[in-house]
Amino acid sequence: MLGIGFGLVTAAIVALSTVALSLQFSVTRTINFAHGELMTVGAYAGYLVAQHTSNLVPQALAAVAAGAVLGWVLNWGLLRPFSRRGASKIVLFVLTIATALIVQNLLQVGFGGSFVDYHYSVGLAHHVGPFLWTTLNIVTMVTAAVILISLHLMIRRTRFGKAQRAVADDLMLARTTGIAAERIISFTWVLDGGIAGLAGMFLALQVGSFTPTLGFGYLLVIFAAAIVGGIGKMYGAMVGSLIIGIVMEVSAIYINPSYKETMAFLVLVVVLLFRPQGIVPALSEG
Amino acid sequence: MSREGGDGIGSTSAMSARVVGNPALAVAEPVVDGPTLSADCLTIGYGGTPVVREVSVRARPGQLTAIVGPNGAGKSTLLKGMAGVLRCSSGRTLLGDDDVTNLTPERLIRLGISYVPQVSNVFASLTVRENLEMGAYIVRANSKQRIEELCSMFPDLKSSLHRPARTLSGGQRMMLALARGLMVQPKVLLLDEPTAGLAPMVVEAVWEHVLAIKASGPAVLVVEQNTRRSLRDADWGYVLTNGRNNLEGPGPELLADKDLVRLYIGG
Ligand SMILES: Nc1ncnc2c1ncn2[C@@H]1O[C@H](COP(=O)(O)OP(=O)(O)OP(=O)(O)O)[C@@H](O)[C@H]1O
Ligand SMILES: [Mg+2]
Repeated sequence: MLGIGFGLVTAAIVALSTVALSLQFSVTRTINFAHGELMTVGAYAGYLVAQHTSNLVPQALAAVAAGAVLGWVLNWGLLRPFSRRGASKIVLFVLTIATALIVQNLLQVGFGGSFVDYHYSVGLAHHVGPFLWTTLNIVTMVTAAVILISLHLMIRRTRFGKAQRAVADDLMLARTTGIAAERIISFTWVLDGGIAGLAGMFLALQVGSFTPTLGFGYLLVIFAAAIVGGIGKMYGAMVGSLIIGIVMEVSAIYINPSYKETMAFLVLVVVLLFRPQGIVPALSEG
Repeated sequence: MSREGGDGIGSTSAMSARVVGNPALAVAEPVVDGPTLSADCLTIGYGGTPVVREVSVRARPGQLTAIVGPNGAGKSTLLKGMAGVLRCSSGRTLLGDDDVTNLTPERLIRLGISYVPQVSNVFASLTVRENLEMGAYIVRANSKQRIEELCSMFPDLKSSLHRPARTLSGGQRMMLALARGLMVQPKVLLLDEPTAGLAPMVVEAVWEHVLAIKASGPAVLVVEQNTRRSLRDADWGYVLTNGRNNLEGPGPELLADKDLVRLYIGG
């Protein structure tokens, strides 16, 4: 039960990041290797603000802003100019790898390569049903749930969300229909960055101390969750994250914490063997 | 100048197209005063040798203009060039007196040129209603009322408003694609093979819609595989072969042309 409790917290963080990645991928069709860095800049932004206030809200806003700005810059400054000149998807992918390395190095220059401590006053643990959670745990899960539900409503109900799905479906048809696809894609990167930045902050708070490779270390876990759920499927990403998060934390308790990520990939391999399209069938996807 | 193989009309070396019938008829004043879309010497390709070479066509308001020709003649490519999907490497497209050559698709739809492609012409994962809403993306206002209007025009859609477009039959899909293209009340409608792959009864229904649309005012430029039916109803028809203008004239008079009938229709 303890494992599942932790697993739900990990799942909440992974889900935030994975859903952001999934949405970004389905709309832009670009594999972003710098997705981890969106998380890392969020973590550092939260950490910086925490030096001035212990209030979590400004820390979270800073994390969102930092991730959003990096997401926007990555698209506006790099991916869009290159794809306008006809760069292939593989070239764009390589550009995101370069971005990942550059951001990591810049953070290293700014903050040094050693661990920085980042905590939130834990307070008492709460018993919730069979689970034992800290205030931070609960805040993390509630925030994640609120964001995921909002995303769902946005995708289904708003003009912007429908346009995102239209672009995801067929970029050229969207353009001939008059949808401002470039603007939709740009906003999607901002949204992706903001959510990933927030996930990065929660991740950093959860582990307590981190380095410029925080997000990079989680990248493969997030890709695994996205693939388990079915690539580019937002609801699949949620389910994939839940499975990966719980498997990681349960195995940390019953097997060995250092096998956490190995277990995540074991799940990935099993899923790829039996359901390469992901566990969630192609429902009406967003 | 080399050509790929001799396929009858296509291999005649006329640089300008043969015109049948009385050209004066064609320049008779249109019944509706929307703009005419004119393609003037368009050359379009996919990077290699151009697929469409110096083709000129003209679509007048309130008229049905048909483009026919054998498979691979470049009919779809021509429409893509006029819709902003492909770049034209030379030539001009005019909407009324305005040069709209190589504008982006986003701009062209705002100017009133609506394009319904041959394949993937609906957003498969969006519902029928959402498809129509996206059709009105550039208008925003009044989309509810316009959806009502189009539902009464296409009763098939009314009962399926909440179904994802991917679950529609071929005919319903085409109706949806037409309705989506009409959400903005376009001045020009470019239709690429609206009846391809449909059951015969559905073909008739879709074609009736096409005729009704043109009667409502816009210039309708349609590419069709059913040469006989489209020329029968076309105010003006163009025969395209090997990416070039080959023959043009009022539809029924083209149908009376023995060479054309022998080569593309038979009987
Ligand atoms: N995406 C593409 N890339 C490269 N060449 C293409 C592409 N699409 C079409 N072509 C080529 O352009 C030529 C004309 O194709 P197009 O689709 O315009 O013909 P069409 O007249 O519409 O034929 P159909 O009646 O089969 O629809 C063909 O030789 C085809 O091979
Ligand atoms: Mg075609």
